Formats: sequence, C-alpha cells, structure tokens
Amino acid sequence: MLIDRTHQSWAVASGVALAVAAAGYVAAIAVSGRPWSGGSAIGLTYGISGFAMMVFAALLAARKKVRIWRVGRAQTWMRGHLWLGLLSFPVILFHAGFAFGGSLTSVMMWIFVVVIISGIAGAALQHFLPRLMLARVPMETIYEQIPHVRAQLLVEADGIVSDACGGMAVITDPAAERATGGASKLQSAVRIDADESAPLREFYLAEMRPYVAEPDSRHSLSDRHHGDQVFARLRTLLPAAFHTALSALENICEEERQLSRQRRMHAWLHGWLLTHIPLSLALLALAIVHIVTALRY
Amino acid sequence: MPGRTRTTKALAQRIDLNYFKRPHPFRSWKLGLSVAVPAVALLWLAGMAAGGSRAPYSSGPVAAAHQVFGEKCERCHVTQARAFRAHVTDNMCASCHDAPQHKPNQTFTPTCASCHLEHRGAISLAATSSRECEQCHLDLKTTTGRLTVAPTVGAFNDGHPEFAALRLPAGAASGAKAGDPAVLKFNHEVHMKTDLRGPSGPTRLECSTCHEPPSPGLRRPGSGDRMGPVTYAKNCASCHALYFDPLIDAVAPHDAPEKVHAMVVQSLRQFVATNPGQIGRPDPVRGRIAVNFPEPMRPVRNAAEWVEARTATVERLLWSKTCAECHTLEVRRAGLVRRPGLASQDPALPRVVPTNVRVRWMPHARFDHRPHQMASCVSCHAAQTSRETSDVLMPSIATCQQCHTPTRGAESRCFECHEYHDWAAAKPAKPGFDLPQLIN
Repeated sequence: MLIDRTHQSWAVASGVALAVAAAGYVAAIAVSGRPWSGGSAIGLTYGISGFAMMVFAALLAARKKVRIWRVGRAQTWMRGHLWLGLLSFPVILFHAGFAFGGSLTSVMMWIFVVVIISGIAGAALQHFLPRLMLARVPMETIYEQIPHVRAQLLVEADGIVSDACGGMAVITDPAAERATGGASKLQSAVRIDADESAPLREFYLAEMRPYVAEPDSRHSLSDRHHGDQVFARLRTLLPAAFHTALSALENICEEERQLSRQRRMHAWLHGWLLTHIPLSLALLALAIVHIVTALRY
Repeated sequence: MPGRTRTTKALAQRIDLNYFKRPHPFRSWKLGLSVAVPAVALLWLAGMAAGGSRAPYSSGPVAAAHQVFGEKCERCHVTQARAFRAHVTDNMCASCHDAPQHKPNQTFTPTCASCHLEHRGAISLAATSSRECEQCHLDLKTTTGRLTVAPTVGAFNDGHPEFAALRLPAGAASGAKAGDPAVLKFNHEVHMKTDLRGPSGPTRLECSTCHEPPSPGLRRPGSGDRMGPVTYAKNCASCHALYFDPLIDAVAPHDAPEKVHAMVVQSLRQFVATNPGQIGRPDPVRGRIAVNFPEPMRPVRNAAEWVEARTATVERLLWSKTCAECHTLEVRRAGLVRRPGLASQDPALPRVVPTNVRVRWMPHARFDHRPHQMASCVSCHAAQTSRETSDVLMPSIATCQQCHTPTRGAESRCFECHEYHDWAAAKPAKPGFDLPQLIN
C-alpha cells in the first residue's frame, strides 16, 4: 500500500492519540505514586483500548476474505489496520507499564514485537516495491500464473525456432516432451551444421531451451548483459532472415528474466505475511487467554 | 516472420482462468502457518495446564519470601464458592501473617494486597508506596477525633513536617529554637577542641570516642540501630575523675549523693585511722582541688571531729563544683540529716535532678546510623558550634532531604522510617498449614 498524503489524517489522528495516551500514562504514574499495574483502572483502560485496536487490525483479514461485505472501503480498512495496529503497540506497552511480566505475557510481548516489526517492514516493502516492480518488471503477470505462462513461453520459443529453421518436428506437448525428452527429439529431427540456421538451433537447444524450460538464476542467460552479448553474436553469425526470430527469442529470455525477478520481488513483497499473519493470530489467541486469566487471578 | 506482440488480448489469452481454484504454495503456507502457530501457542498453554502448572499466567515472579510456594498459586489465590475470581483476600494473608492493624482509631483499613504488591520479583513487600500512607495522612481523621501526629503529612520531600524534636510549639516567639530537654551541662564545642587536655596530655576527641555506632553486624529491630548510650564510666571518667580530697588517692563513685557521702566518710575514717597525725594539722593547698575552698576546715580535737569537719568541707566542694560541673543539684534546705557518727550540723544531702537524656529522638520513626557511616558526623550534626545542652543537634529534615529524594536515589518512601503495622501488638500466627502442604 502506498503511504502517501491520503494517510495524513490517519497519521495525525494516530499521533494525537499516542500523545494523549502517553500524557495520560505519565500523569497517571506521577499522580498515583504507586508501581504501575495493568489491572488498575487506567491500566485496564489502556489494555482494553489496545486490544480493541488489535482486533480491528485483525478484522482486515476477515474483510478481505468476504469481499462482498459492504463495511467501509477496503482502503479505509487498510489504513486503519496500518495505523491502529501500529498504535496498539505503545498502548499495550502503557497497559503493561513497559514490563513484560510473566511467561505468558512475555511471550505475547515478544510476539507483538515481531508482529509490529514485520508489519512495519511489510508496509515499507509495499510502499516501495510495487513502484520498483512497475519499473523493473514491465512484463509482470499474475504471480500464480507464472508457471503457466512459462510453459507457454517454452512452447512459443520452440515454435519460433521451428518456424525459423523450417519444418522441424518439435514436440511441444509438455507431457509428450517430458516423456521423450524434447531437446533430444528436436536435435534428432534436424541435422546440425547442415544449413545456415545451425547456429540458431545449436544455441537454442544447448543454451536457451534449458533456461526457458527450467529458469535458474545460475544460468548464464539469467544475466541480461550476457544475454545481450550472446544475441549480438548470433546476429553476426546468422543471416538477416533469422533476426526477427532472434529478437523474439531474446524477448522471451527477457520475459523469463522478468518473471524470475517478479518471483523474487513477490517473495519480498508478501513473504513477511508468513510471519505477520500467523503470529498476529497467535497473539490474539493468547491475548484472549490473558484476559480470562487476568480477570480470574 | 513477425516478431512477438504483447497485446492485451494475447496476454489475456495466456491466463488460466481457474488458477485461483488450485492450491498455491504461498497461500498454502500462509493458511497452514496461520493455523499451526496459534495452535502451537495454545498447545503450550494446554501442555502446561495438563502438567498442573499455572506459571504462564503469573504476572511476574513472586517476592522472595513467597518463592517457597513455587507454582502453587492456590496457596494464596483461593476461589470462593461458585465464584470465577480467585483474587487474594486478606484472610489468606492473615493465615500466615498476623499483621496488627495500624492504629485502633483509624478510619480506613486498606487491603493487604493494595499496599504489598506481589508478582514484582524479589523485592521487599514491605517497600510500599507512600501513596498508600498519604491516602489517610494527607488529611488525617480518626474515629476518636484525637490526633497524636501531625494532621497533614505528605511525601518526605513534599509535605512532610519538620521532625518533632525540632518543631516549635504553636505560638512560639520568632527566633525561638527547639530545645533539648536534658538536664545536663555539656558543651560539645569545648569537647571538640583540637588541644583538649586529657589524662595523658593533649588529646583530641572524635565523635565516636563517646558516641558508639551500632555494631555493623547487629541488626536487632528496635534497639540495634541506635547509637550506644554515653555513660560517665565509659566516656567521661578518664578525664573527669571524681577526686574529692588530695589526701586520699581514690575517686568518689558516680552515683547517688547518699552513696557518695558514704564512700567519702568511709575513706576519711580509714585515712585518719592510719594517719592520726593529720588531726590538727593545717590543710595543704595543692593539686587541682583546693580542699579548704572557700573556707578552711575548722579546728578539731579528735578523729571523729576531723572526719565530720573534713566531710563537710569535701562535700561542699563536691556538691558545688565537682558534681555541678555537669549535673543540676537541688539542695534540701528543709531539714538536716543526722547520721550515726556525724555531728548534728551535717547538712542535708542534695538531690541530683534526673538528666532526662533522650535515648530516642524520633518516637514515631526509626533511624539507623549504619547506612549513613560514609558521611561525617558533623555534616549532619552541628556539634562543633554547640555550646548549650539545650541545642538540638538532630539534623533538620532538610538535611535528610538532600539525599532522600526520588531524584537522588536514596529511598524516600514512608516505609524507610515508619512502620505501618503496630508490631508491638503482634500475636503469633496460627499455623494454617503443615510442612508438606507448604512445599509440595
């Protein structure tokens, strides 16, 4: 989510709320003169407020699950999640008097710390990475579609080479290709060195096709600079009639590189959720236990 | 051959429209972890509960005195019948601690747990907040309407009155000073001179020469924290020996006049028995004590008269100078005392006014000199400039407040000097547990 001027009102409101909460905490400490207790009236006020913010932040997941709910705009929920979730941490610290207490509350506080840090990291990543992705991955596709698109790129590349080299019997059906070994089939269907398209076929079969079939960051074509050099050399070797096919293959290599980049950036963009969401849910579960036991004891 | 074209239509046709129906590793991990992590957290609590431990729910370690109970929360947290809450009640505290109430005429009795905050680690539970005391003492009311302490007492640094020994009674003249009620003549300034004349030549007295600090290892409540008493025998006799007659190499006892008189008569009798030639001999005028001062001894004819006359002369000097150096004596002029063997003109013995030296300067508080030994005595007690016994050398509260303030670190809460419970009224606690119950 882009944190821009539209967040200004939330940021100001959160800042004011934090200032009020901090002032209340300091005043309560000064006036009471007693050691802080989360079970005191003001301590409970902070605890209830903080827990309410945590619950609101968690409801974003429910709001996302049930998109047909017309309970406020998704943007509003997202901003509330971000700012109230952030505000809940100092409020809970005020509730606890900056002490971690016993083992349950200590575990909760450490989980809370990780949740907040992962949330802040996630917000920062989601602020910067989408724009970076827009610039660096113009061929972006739906993340879950990447394997499907890649399979189509392989078919497309095989077709381009087959068309350029003339009547090659290239097996493009993925299942049949896996069964027979596509590269060996293509290699057996044409006689390398037999004509002027040989450098293209040789390059494709030996270098590019393995990369398109199984993109690997260690492959030489995953380096754009190396790829540019390879294709420039091929252009000098091949007649002009093959240059269009070369450009298409080069474009496919670029798309492969961008899809790999998209995968990496996606991992950064969403990977933190694997920490943030499970720990948030664990925190809520433990908070409910904490509330019940605190009321009892 | 045409190049690659990336039209919207071409891109849309690449999409598998059912992709969201199939599981995806990222979504699967997210869902799995979202279930597993909370489940692990709850299983941890369930496992602890199955093992009979409620330690996770503790808000912190209990005080050192209660750590013997371990994780037996139910020792203190007892559930009332059909009640959900298991808060600690005063009855549970009283099952081990028969802590007497503060004052019989108090209007409000806080709960034990409101002052003694548990689950805050190995702290002293007696280290209570001053706010607990202030809730009554800021505007003290009693059930009887009678107050024995100041009606308004705030925190030590904010609203605590001057120490009682230094307070002036209402209506005292300006410039008046609180006085030491002791009936004893003592000049601290003289005794702190650097060239004091001692029994073996010039000497210099330190405060500790007379005022013995409490033993560092002795910590008995009530008395062990006070300075040792100053006594004549221990602290004064070496310089102020009670010689009464230059003929006799003995000193009078530091005791009641009757005993002094008996000792003097006894000594003179023994002397004249062994030195009969002294009868009728003129008095020597020598030494520090002029026996014939202010008038010479009258002529005598025999030993009995010599003893009588000599006793009268010696005692005149004793009562008027030697004893009066420090004590106030009341002369009984109403009658004469006839004693066996003495003439009827023997004057009545004086009465020594009780010295009334204060042993305890703060009756409602305690002070222990031992933690203050790093500071020189005179930095708190202005003894070097005190000439009068009536000077109160106890430091003002302002002196204490220099260190005992929250910003300087030295403890300034009420419990540091005062006790809430009237331990003099304490009764032995009735045992409520047997040993296995406590430790198992």
